[in-house]
Order: sequence, then structure tokens, then C-alpha cells
Amino acid sequence: MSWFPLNRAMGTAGVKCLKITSPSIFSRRILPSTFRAAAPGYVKTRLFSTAEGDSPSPEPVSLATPPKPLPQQARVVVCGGGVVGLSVAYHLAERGWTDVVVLEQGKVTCGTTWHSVGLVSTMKATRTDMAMTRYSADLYKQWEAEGEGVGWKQCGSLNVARTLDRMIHLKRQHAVAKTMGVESQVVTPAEIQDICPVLRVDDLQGGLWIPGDGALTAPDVAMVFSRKAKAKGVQVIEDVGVEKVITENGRVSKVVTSAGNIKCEYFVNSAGLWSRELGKRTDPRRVNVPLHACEHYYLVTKPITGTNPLMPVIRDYDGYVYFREWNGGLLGGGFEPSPKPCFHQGPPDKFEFQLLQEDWDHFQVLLTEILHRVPAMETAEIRQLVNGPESFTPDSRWLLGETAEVANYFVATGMNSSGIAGAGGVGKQVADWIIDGRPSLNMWAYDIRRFIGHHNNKRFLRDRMQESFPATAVLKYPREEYTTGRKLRCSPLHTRQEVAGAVFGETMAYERAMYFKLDDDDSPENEDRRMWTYTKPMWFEAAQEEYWACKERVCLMDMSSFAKFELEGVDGYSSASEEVVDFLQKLCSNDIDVDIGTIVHTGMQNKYGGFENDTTIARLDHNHFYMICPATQQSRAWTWLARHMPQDGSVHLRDVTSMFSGINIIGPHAQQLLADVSDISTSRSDFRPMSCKKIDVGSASGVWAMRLTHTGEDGFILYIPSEYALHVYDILMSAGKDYGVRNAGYYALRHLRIENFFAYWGLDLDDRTTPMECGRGYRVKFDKGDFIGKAALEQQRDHGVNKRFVHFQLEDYDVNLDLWPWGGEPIYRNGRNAGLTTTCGFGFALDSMVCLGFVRDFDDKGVEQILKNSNDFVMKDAKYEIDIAGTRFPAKPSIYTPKQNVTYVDPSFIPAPQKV
Amino acid sequence: MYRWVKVNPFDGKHAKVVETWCRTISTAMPKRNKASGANLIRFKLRNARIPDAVQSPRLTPQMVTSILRMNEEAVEESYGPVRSYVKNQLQSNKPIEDRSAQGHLVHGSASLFGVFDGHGGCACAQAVSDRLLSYIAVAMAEHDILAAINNGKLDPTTDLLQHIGDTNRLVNTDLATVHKQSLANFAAEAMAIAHFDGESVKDALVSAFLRLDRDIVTEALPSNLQGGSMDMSCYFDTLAIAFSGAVGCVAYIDGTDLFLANVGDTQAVLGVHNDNRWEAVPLSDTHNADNPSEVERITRCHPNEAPNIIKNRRLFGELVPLRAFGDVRYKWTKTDLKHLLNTKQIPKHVMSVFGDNLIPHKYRTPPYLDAEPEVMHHILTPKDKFLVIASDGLWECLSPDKVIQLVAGHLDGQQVLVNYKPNEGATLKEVNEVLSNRRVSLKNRALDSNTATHLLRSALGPDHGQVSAQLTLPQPIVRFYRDDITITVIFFDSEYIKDKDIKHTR
Repeated sequence: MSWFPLNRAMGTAGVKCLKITSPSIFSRRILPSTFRAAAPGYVKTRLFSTAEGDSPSPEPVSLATPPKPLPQQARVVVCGGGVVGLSVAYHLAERGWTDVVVLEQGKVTCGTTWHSVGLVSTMKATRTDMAMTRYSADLYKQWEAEGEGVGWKQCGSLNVARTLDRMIHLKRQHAVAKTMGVESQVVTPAEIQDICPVLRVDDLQGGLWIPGDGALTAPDVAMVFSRKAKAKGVQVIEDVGVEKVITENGRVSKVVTSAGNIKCEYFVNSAGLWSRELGKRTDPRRVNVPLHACEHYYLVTKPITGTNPLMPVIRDYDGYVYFREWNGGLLGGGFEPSPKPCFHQGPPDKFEFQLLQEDWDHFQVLLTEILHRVPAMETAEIRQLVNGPESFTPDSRWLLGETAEVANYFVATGMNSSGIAGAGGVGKQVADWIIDGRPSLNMWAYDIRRFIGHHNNKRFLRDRMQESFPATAVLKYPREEYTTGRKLRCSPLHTRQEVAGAVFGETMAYERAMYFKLDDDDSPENEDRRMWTYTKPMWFEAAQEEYWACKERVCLMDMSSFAKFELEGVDGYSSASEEVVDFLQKLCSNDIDVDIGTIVHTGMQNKYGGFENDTTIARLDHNHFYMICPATQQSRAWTWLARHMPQDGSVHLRDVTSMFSGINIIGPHAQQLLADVSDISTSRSDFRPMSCKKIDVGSASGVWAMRLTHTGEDGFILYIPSEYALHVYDILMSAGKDYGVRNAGYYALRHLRIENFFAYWGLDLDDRTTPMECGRGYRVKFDKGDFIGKAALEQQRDHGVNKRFVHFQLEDYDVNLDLWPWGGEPIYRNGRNAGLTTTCGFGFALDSMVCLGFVRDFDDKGVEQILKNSNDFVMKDAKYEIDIAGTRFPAKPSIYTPKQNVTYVDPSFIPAPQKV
Repeated sequence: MYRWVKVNPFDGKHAKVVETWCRTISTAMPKRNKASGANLIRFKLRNARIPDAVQSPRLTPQMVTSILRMNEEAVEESYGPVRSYVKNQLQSNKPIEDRSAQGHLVHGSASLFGVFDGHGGCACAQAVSDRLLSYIAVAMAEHDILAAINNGKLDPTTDLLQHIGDTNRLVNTDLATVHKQSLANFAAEAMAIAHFDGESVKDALVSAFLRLDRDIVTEALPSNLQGGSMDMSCYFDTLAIAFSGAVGCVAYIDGTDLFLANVGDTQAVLGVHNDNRWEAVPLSDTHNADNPSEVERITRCHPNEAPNIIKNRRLFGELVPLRAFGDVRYKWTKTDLKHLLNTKQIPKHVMSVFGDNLIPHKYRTPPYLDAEPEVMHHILTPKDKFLVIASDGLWECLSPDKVIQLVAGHLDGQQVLVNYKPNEGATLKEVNEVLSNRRVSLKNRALDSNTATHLLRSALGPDHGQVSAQLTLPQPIVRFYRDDITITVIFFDSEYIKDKDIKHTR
């Protein structure tokens, strides 16, 4: 029997597709049991019924529920019968939500799941990733043990390194894996040869061996999810496509399908390749699901004699490729640079169990690497080159959670070619999210609200694919920026900064100056210094110079990217009514009913006390507030505010991010500089810290000046109507010449705030961190009345917290020679794992490397204990170490900002001539 | 002046001409309305610099491509050693003075490819492209065929030669009759005197060239008008043909024999693939003052006149090529020329088209010019992959080596257009080797699928801005920047040649 007979057929949308006669590329020998009985008839029927459409075909043997009328209503409708959608349904059912309908437009697994390679790797970039994939792996292993037959092979996996940097990357993963109890082992080339004799090892630096990993048969996993979900009452309905999702008052109300309507409370978009298009079919407001399909290639060989069926999964990502054993032969695929995006106009109709036309020339890059790593494959013959489309997101992370546009509209899609490894964990988290209102892990990295509207731009997505597809394999250094889809949102000062030598980074598509090049940065002796590295990067000296300019002189920093909102009452700014005050009092844990012109730092807590948002709110008028949030919060903050707004429309909310540009004037001379260019007194008594005034700067009017800098240093932030921003910047620059004014970028800001123990939302704080845990209990006003999360915070105040935010200074550490911490390094307290660092940076004033992170008390099982007295726990009888890629550095803890950093330098320190 | 000076566009000497043109354009409008004061301001505004033609192209890439492809032609039919041929043309003169012609000999297996470059108008080039291949056919015809022509059983203009590709044939039927008669006369004389014996292709080519030129020269003699064999308009056409000129190059390909007959400065270059390297083998010499042997040949024929004949690297300081069809100003006797000028039937203004001083200065021992071709013979080997014949417009822009590299690269790039599918049973190593080679070739994949168009684009640019600038040069000055370009690329069938080669050596 020929392995994989193919019939050429044109896709209906003009896309060249291959229609195959088997629903799975997997040979009969290991076909899932459900296929096995039905396969021959099923195959034929499917081929003719879809490709020709004219042949009178026998009734298809359905794999799912036999056709029956669509239910009138359901609590949750899941769109997409791939492994992820089915996993969500299964996990909902596991938690008792059985009124769930899964709709599949074709047949279960027919989109992407059926051609998945089926690798389950637990070694991922972050701890959360690892937690989720580990959950999946455990679930599949358990099923295999129960006899469910998912084809699980615990062959282990071997990630090899060709470069020293890759080796550091593996060691960093190893360090984190250790804290989670994931078994892994750093191995030498010789040991690699022992584990897997077919590999060429002479050009390897080493590798990481993970014995608990494995591979399985992907469609079988989907089938088990489906079977188990159905056993609990979930309905899986095939051949029903979702045409539209109807919303009412911004909530999901009804799903219009090809077979009728279903009223529902929740909708889950797990439509994979079709998700983006499905999102657009939301009425009346479209949902943005930013992903794009891309061709993914893998090659299957005919059997090679001597192939070990339990050969580990090999990942040689310096050569972009991976391998697994396949039916006596080998399977090799990869994530090549310059991939081929596909389905730019959306996937064609009836793209079921189909592949794309293979392009051997395109595959050649991978083939060379495959043959390089496994020379034994040179003599092997080809069984099949598979080109299957998969969906990828702009940052190559999954898209999960409730959408910003529509309440109760969830997504679980954009799996970036790791759908099988992710399905279990993703299903669990999304099910928890639906039922509890929040997932059980911090999901911000995957939260669909991390994107804003522009990310859904099709061209942007296609361009970014060039980087986000290979990102699976290509080593990404800490903080490394994407280079495609850049220069989208630029502040009015962008060009000035560019001329001044700015190097930009991007957040929410906003270009922000990270640092300004020094004169000798481009000189030949600095040629070998690198922007992206695990050690001291090339911007270090520049950031240092900017840092000291901020500390001792004055710097201008462009803060335009911050998300900015205006809230006002329906009757105008100064009306006596208090709708906005009441609204914000409910949302904020700090007291915002302050004098007009006062600024408040406050968290916005969820009902568990965690930070939904960390904002700075200025009271501009009686019923008028100006809110500044981190740039990444633009979509999330809006959603949170909008969902809690009074239904009567008494509060008006406006996103004014693009209306105002922000210039941060930081440093001891800021006070004098601002006084010089405006007609106000900026002395500390006339312009108190944490207050704001509407002032004129130069000839520009209507500038909001706020005395704060987000760094812990003295200074002002000016929020300027954007068209005046250039004028204000130029005036400040020329007036500040004799004050030593200069530009500063975000690296300087980051170092200032890390040293000053300033936690930032999204980096240090998340929705699972409370103010009590990060030393901000003083900002929670329990006596001001009720607010969201009050009960949870009271509970913590009275009974203790789960973790405590700590400032560490590394000891015995050489910033020039040692590997740098970048966040995510394990913290050891008296030799026992106590959590991970969040952000790190060099403290120039302290002259030591500073790491911020949360310290927890784990028991032997790894469960968090409540810290009754967190200060004592952190500071008393505790010796700390921080593990950077396997090397542990002693660290000095502190729960307050170090003393030398809080002394303000008075600008009048220069002795003035005394009158006699 | 018959031929414009070929100049470097950025040459300081001619910058003035360009500048004058710019000023002419920009001042044309206000000059007409000099009186009004408002127009004075307008004049100043319009005197502003126009955007740079290269930096800000006036044509879009789509427009450039459609202009470049307007005249392209590709014939994929295999005929003997010729696998296919492509050609393209770009005008500089208006109307274009280049012509090309291709055909198969009906009796025999030879193919003919000609490229002709006219000067002083397009009439002569048109006539040569129409007639030369038929003259060659007659010169190649054996006795029986010539007899059949004489008996009227065969029409020498249509039955000996099968034209291929687009042909823009002459439309004047009276003229066609004259031409046909001349050809019939040639056939009759050939039968009587020296018909083709199947051996000396070279002699046949030479005789065809010379005979055609003789016919062009004699048809225009005033005696034809006075004898009443032609009406006035027909005679003026023959005059136009005779007083303009043309150079040309014809490739005669039969089996592994390749003959190149060349008159003037059109060139043919063979692309040879030798040990993974591409070599350019020129198959023609250019007949102009740059070629010392040509100069020597002329001065030898006209002793003591050397300083008068070649002036300023031109014949009589006027004509660039030293061999050409037509150009009777350098062929007729002084008497004939004077006679023509004094012929009453010819109005003065007709002759003034051909120049103010019809008789060159110090014109003593004509003819100074002839159309005897230099013929080169080359035996094709499987290493010979293609032949490029092009008018001097191309060779001024690109060297023969560069042309061969471009065609070879293009050929390579075109080969990989087909979607690769591995053979059944191929090992991955084999597959990877094929793919690696294709990878190199893929880099050569060009914008234009037609090789001639690819050469044309490379000659003008190849950057879009440069091509656009070349194509938007206005008529008065375009000729300073480039000549008409005609390119024919003939691809050889290596397998066919290999077979023939083996038989040959046996």
C-alpha cells in the first residue's frame, strides 16, 4: 500500500491544496482506534464528498455525536473541534459545567490537529509555560496508563546547543525546571552521543536531557478529550459552522450557525486558522484575534534500519530543526527563518484534512540542517514532505482569555505550533478563567488583551510572521526586540530622538527610546560588543551616563507611550455630582477623593486583591480625573474600566493616549529648568510632589505638569497636547543647556526604578499580586468605604500574605564578567527554592546588581504557605542565593528602598554668596 | 550628419545640449505670452528645477515593465540545433531604425537570424530586413530550384523562405514588384553563372549580401525614373532606401555549422559553458574606425586619400560604419550624384532630406563603401549554449562578457521555475544536492521571463529609477544617451548538437 497517496485538488479559494485520501498521515498500524474501524469507508466518502461533490456517497461514518438537532441554548459554545477546543470543553465538564456545545465546521481535528507532529515538551521559556505543558504531559501520561491510547511514548527529549549562548539558555531553563521538580540534566556532547547515537555531536557544546518528555499521536489526544467530554454530557457537533456571534450590551448572547441559533452565556473561539476571521464575524462589534497562518514543514522518511523506536525527541534549534522517530523512520521538521505566510485572505472553505503544496526549494534550508545533525538520514528515502498551515501570533505566544471587545467572549487559539503540548494546560486555564473569572496561573503573557487593535492588521501580521514563526527555534535573548512591523506608533519627538542617536524599543507598537548612543559606540574597538546578550550588553555605559545625568543633573525622557485615560462626569468637569469619584473609589484601593490638583498612586484590585492595574490618577477637577497606566495596559485597563462603568452612562471614559505626549523631566535641576520655561514657581512648597497644575511652557498652553517621575527621583512629567510636544521639547532642550540637560531612555529609567525598589505592573506586579505583598499596604485605604478586593486584602492584612516583594543586591558579583540576571532566575532561601526574580538591573549608586523578586515559603510539596510575619520571614535567619544559569550568587535582601537612594539632592546645594 | 555621436550622457561637452533642452521646455510657454506681466512670474516659477529623473522616477514599475515588454517575442519551437529564440527591441530614434528578421530555408534545414541597424532613416534597414534572407535563400538554392524560379513555378520571395515570428513587411506593392524582379534576376544569373554547389556557404552569403547592395544601389539610379519603369512615389521610396543606410549581421545555422555574416558594427557573441565557467566568444568584427584592419583596407583601396576619408573616426567625417548597405552618397560616381541633383522631376526639397551637401567633400574615387560581409564559420559543440546578436545600442551599454553572464544567469534562474518533485526512491542526500544547486539558481531568478527583455532592462538600469529615466528622455535628446537596441538570443539544443557531433566525428 502506498504510504500517502495524494490527489491534487484545487482549494476552493484558489489556494493550491492537496487533498489526501487518509484523514491522518499516520499509518494504519497506529491509527487511533476510532479511525481504525471506519477508516476505509470514511476515507473514500470524504474524498469524493468534498473534492468532487457530485458522487452519490454513502452516509459518512461520523466520529462524533450522530446528527441530531442543534440545542436551543447552552451555557458555553466552543467553536472549533481541534485539540484545544475539545480540551476546553473537557475541562469545563470536569469542573461540572456540562451544558457545553462544541461546534466543528468539518470533522473533529480536521484543521490543524490531524497533521500535528505530537511532541510534548515541558522545557519552555518561562515558568508558566512549563507549568502548563507539564500539566498536559501529566494528563496524557495518565491517560496512556489508563489505557485510553494516545500513543504516548516516553522517549525523553534532548535539546542540543551548537553555541555557548544556546548552552546558557538551556542552563537557565534547567535552573527554572529544577525549582518545579521537572527532571532535567545538563549533558556533554559525549553523553549526547550515548543517549542518541545517530546524532552528529562534534560541533555541539552540550545539551539538556529531559527524560520525562515524550511524543504521542496528536489526533488521538483530541479524540480522548472529545470522548471524555461527551461522557460527561458535552455535545460535540460536526459539520456545523459558526456564522456569527451576536452580542447584547457588550456580552455574548447568541451564536448563529449554519444549522440554527444557539443562545449562550459564554463563547470560546478555538477556531485555529479560522479564529481571526471568526472574530470579525461578531455583531455588532468585531473581536480582534491577531494571528496569521504560516506554512510549517516536516519530512517523514521510509523506515531506516536500526532506528530505535524510543529515540528521544531531538531539538537542534540552532539549526532550526527537530526530530522524532516515526514508524521505523525519522521525522524531521523545523522553524526556518523567512517562512512562507499563507492564507493571507483567510483560509479557504472546506479546508479539511488538507495540506498545502509542498515547496522543496523552501524546505532545503531545513533539509541541510536535518542531514547535518543526523547523517544516517542521507541514505533514507522520502515517505512524505508535509506542509501544513499553522497559526502564529505576533509575539509567538498563545492567545487566551476574555477579549477586550466583548464580555464572555473567550479565545483559546494561536497555538504557534505547540498545540498538543499546550492543549491540556490551556484547556484547564481557560476553563478556570470562565468559571472563576480568572485562571489559576498568571496568564498575562498569553492574555489576548496584551494586544490592541492595530495588532490585528493583516499586513502587520504577515510581516511579523517572518520573526514570530522562527522564534520557536531561534534563540531570543532577554529583552530582544522584534524588527518587523516597527515604527508604527511614534511620538512627535521621535525624529529628534533618532537624530540624537536613540536606539528604540517597542511596546504596544509604540517606539520608545531605550538609550542614546555614545560617540564611540560605533567605533571599531566596540565592534564585538552586542546589543542582545546574556552578559553585559553594549548599552551599559550609555545607560550609566544617562543614569547619572538623571541623578545629578536633569534629563528629558519621552513617556508618550503610557496609556492615558480621562474620566469625567456626564454633567462636566466641575459639577457638584460625584459619579466619577464614586466609580473610582469602587475600583481603586487607595483613596482618590483628594483635593483638586492632587495625584494618587493606586492599584485597581480584582476581587482576589490582585493588581488588575497599577495607575497614577490625577484629580484635575471636582468630577474630572486623568489616569496614567503602563503602556501595556492600554487594552486591558480600558476593558476593566468599561466593564465596571455605571450602566446609566453617568461616567464618561476617553482614551487620550494619542492626544497627549509625555515628557519626563528627571533630576535635581528639573525644578529650576521648569521654572525657567514657565511662569510658575516650582519650589517644593509651591509645587508639591504628587500634585499637578495646568501650565504654559514656552508658548504652548494647556500642559499638565505633574510632580512625579515614576522612578523615585524628583522631577516632573509634562502631559502636552501632542501638537505642542516638539515645541516644548525644543524649549526645554535649549533652556536646559546650562543645566546639563540631555536625553535619557528607558534603560536609565528602568535602572533608576529597580534600584529605588519601584515595582512596575506587568513586570513585577500582576493580577495575582496584592499591595500587601509588595510593600504597598500603606496605599490601601480600608476605611474609605467598599472597593473591589477589599475583603481579600483585609484577609491578608489580618492573616498574612503568600509572598513578599524583596530587593536583592548580589554579592561576589562582577557586572563585567558574570552572566546577568534578566528576571526569572530562581531565588533560594537557606538553600530552598523561594520563587523567581521578576526584574533586574544594575544599581549604579549602590554599585551592585539589583534583583527584585517575590519570596515565598514553599512546603515540601511545593505549596505556598501563608507568611504570618513576612518581614521577619524575609529578613530574619535567612541567607539568599540567586541562581543565574546554574551559578548561585549570594544576595543581600531588603524590603525597603536602600537609604542612600532616598536622600533627595537639594538643588540649592551650591552655596550662594551671602549678603553681608 | 548621418549618425549621431555616441556620447556619455554625463559628458561635460554635451551637458550644454541637455541644459538647453531643459530651458527650451521650461521657457516654451511664457515665450508665447511675453507681453503680460502675470506671465513673467509664471516664467520664474516654471524655471524651477524638475525632480531628478532617477531619484524620483516618473514611471511606475508597472509602466516600465510594460514598455520594456512591448516588443518582446519568444518562439519556443525547436528547429534543428535551435531550441528556441527570443528577441526584443527598444527605440531611441523615432521611428526606430533597427530591424530584425528570422526564417527557415524551405529547401534544406538551415535557419537564418538577422539583426539590422539602419541610419539616416529606417528605409534601408527595412528593405534589407525584407530582402536579405530571400537573397541568401536564392544564393543557397541549387540548380533545380533556380530553374523552377525561372520557369515561374516558384515565387522567389515566398517559396524559398519561411519567415518566423513577427514580421513587419514592406507595404508598398509597387516597390515589392521591383524588389521581386531584382530577386528573380539574381536567381536567373545565379543559375547561369554560379549556382550553389552545396559546399561554399561562405561564398553564397557574400554573394547574397553584395547582390542585394548592388540592387539597392542600381534601383535608385535616375535612369530608372527616366526609363519609365517606376512611377514617382515608388522611385522616391527607392531613393530613400538608397540614400539611407543599414548595417547588419546574419546567422546561418545548419546542423552544427554556424556562419555569421556581418557588415558594420552589429555584433554576435556566443555563450560557451566551459568547466562551470561562462565564456563570451565574439563571432564578428566591427567594421568601424576602431578596427585598424578596416581602416587599413579602405586606405589601401584609395591610396593618397587617407586623411580625407577617415576624419573624426568617421568616413568623410560623417559615417561611423565602414561597411554598409545603401548610403549611395559614398558609392555612386560623382557624375551620377550630380545627375540626380539636376534631374528636374525631383524637387529640391526631396533631396534636402538627405543632407545639404549631397556630395562629400573631396569625393574622388568612389565607391568608398561596400556591403561585403565578413563571414565567420564556427562548428557548434555541446558547450555552445546560446548566441546573442544585437545592434550596437546594446553593446554600448554592456560588454560581451557581461551580456553572456546575464543570459547565463537568467537561463539558470528560469530553469528552477518548475516546481521540484523528488524522484521515487531518491535518497535525502541526493535530494539535498539537487536542492542546493537550485538554491543558487533561484537567486538568479529575474523579473522578466524573456531573456532579451532581461538584457534590455540590465542595459538601461537595471534599477527602476535608471530605467525610468532612460525611458522618459524626451525625443530631441534621447539619441544622445542611447541608440536603438535590438536583441536576438538564440538558444541551442545541446542534446541535438551532441548527437550530430558524434555522427560527425564518426
